[in-house]
Amino acid sequence: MAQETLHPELERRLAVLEKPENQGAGFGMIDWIWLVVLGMVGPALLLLWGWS
Amino acid sequence: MSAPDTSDETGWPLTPAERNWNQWQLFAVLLVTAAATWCYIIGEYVGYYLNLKMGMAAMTAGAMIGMLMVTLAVVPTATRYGIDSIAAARPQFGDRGWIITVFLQYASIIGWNCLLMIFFGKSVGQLLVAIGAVDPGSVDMIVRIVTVLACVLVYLILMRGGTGLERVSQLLFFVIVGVGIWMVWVLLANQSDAIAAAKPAYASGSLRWDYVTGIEIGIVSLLSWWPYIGAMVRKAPNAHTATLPSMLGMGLPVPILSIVGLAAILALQVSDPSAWLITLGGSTYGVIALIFVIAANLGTTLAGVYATAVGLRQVPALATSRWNTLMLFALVPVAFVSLVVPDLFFSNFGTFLAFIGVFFAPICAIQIVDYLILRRQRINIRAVFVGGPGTDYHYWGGFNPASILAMVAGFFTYLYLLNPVSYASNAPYDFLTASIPTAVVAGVVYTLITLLVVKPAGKGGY
Repeated sequence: MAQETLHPELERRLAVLEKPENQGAGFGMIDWIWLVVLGMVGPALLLLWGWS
Repeated sequence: MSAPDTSDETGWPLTPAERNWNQWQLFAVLLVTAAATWCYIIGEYVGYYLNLKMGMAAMTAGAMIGMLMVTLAVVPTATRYGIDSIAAARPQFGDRGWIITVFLQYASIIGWNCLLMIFFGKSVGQLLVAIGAVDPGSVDMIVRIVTVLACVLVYLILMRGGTGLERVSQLLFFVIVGVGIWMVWVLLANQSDAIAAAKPAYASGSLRWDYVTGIEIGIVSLLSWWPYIGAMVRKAPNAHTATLPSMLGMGLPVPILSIVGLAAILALQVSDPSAWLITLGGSTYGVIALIFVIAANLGTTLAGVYATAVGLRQVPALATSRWNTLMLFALVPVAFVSLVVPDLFFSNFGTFLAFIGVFFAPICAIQIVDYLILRRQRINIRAVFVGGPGTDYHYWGGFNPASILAMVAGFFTYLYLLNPVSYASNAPYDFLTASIPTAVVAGVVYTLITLLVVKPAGKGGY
């Protein structure tokens, strides 16, 4: 690793965020469903309606 | 080392205690960011090719597809580690190559802010002429003065950092939603027959090409959110909190407000509500429209300057600069362009939109395949902020060839499918749009080079 002097506050933040329990959770099942509905299924239906 | 600014202006990752925005707070901020008068110009462009029904469908579908791409690219990383869009791109672009994303963020937000500020200045000028306060010959000067004053106002508000942004957004939210709904009602109540009978002025003769172009305009308009969104969703504690605010708060307002511009250009041949509301209801309606323009553009410009300042903080030469100095980097070019060439961005808006698609579609694809698939949703957060030889994201001399070649492949794919200047197209543009194939090509190239070259070489921290 490169030797670089970090600001103490940045070092503190990185130490905190390197612990998995301090990291935000990713998308859950419900989130994926919303993403598919709003970003794929919904647009497909809209395009069919617009073309009809 | 100099003393840092407050936590959310440093560009450093936010700790869990600082990521405290709930869905409502994030929804309000993202909606205020998205709801700007560029929506009218977007609607106007779609109205050149499509009638109201097809335009609404194409614009909304395209916008939601574009928003999905941006959400998948930025939200998971930004909310897991509390970082902005630029920092989130460092694992893919390298600890020097990420400067590409800083430049693109800077260029795109400066462009949008110029558009918004000049639009605001023009609206003020039109209203003052309409109520007889000034003569038409003074409008150009008023545009310049108002634009510079607006830049000063943005500077003063953002001296409070993210706190100022969030508080102003809560207030602007109700003005934007309320007046926006009222404008749709006024337009449909007064001009429904004209809208139904209107024909698009520049329809190509191929309904499929026109329809796909409406979708493409929707997609690239929402790809514009890539530079903005990270600085805001990083205030959310996790991806779940940001999912619906992102898709509905940032994705949906653009096509909904664009309907106003689409309907107005079809019925009245002008998309600026400050102009057509005066025609329909006199100066009182004009004042209401102007309040809307002020509220909408102010919120978006605030968010843009904030995101730019956070992104610029990542540049080593600016790492220790004061927050106020960074804001000047974001605002002075806007004031300069608005003073010297205020009509440039209006006359080249279509090209500017295509520029967004050319570069941000590949970036989104690269981030999606890298973070969600190749890295299985984990990065080395220390390596994002500590670069140099031997670190995970140094690759070769600080640049990742996979991302650079993927960007090049995406660039030429887009240029082949749709010329950003002339809008001349090649197959299969009229079936697939330009942005979606561009993203697919960039994602495939990135994946192949990563699997065949980068990972076997032990680079990238995979």
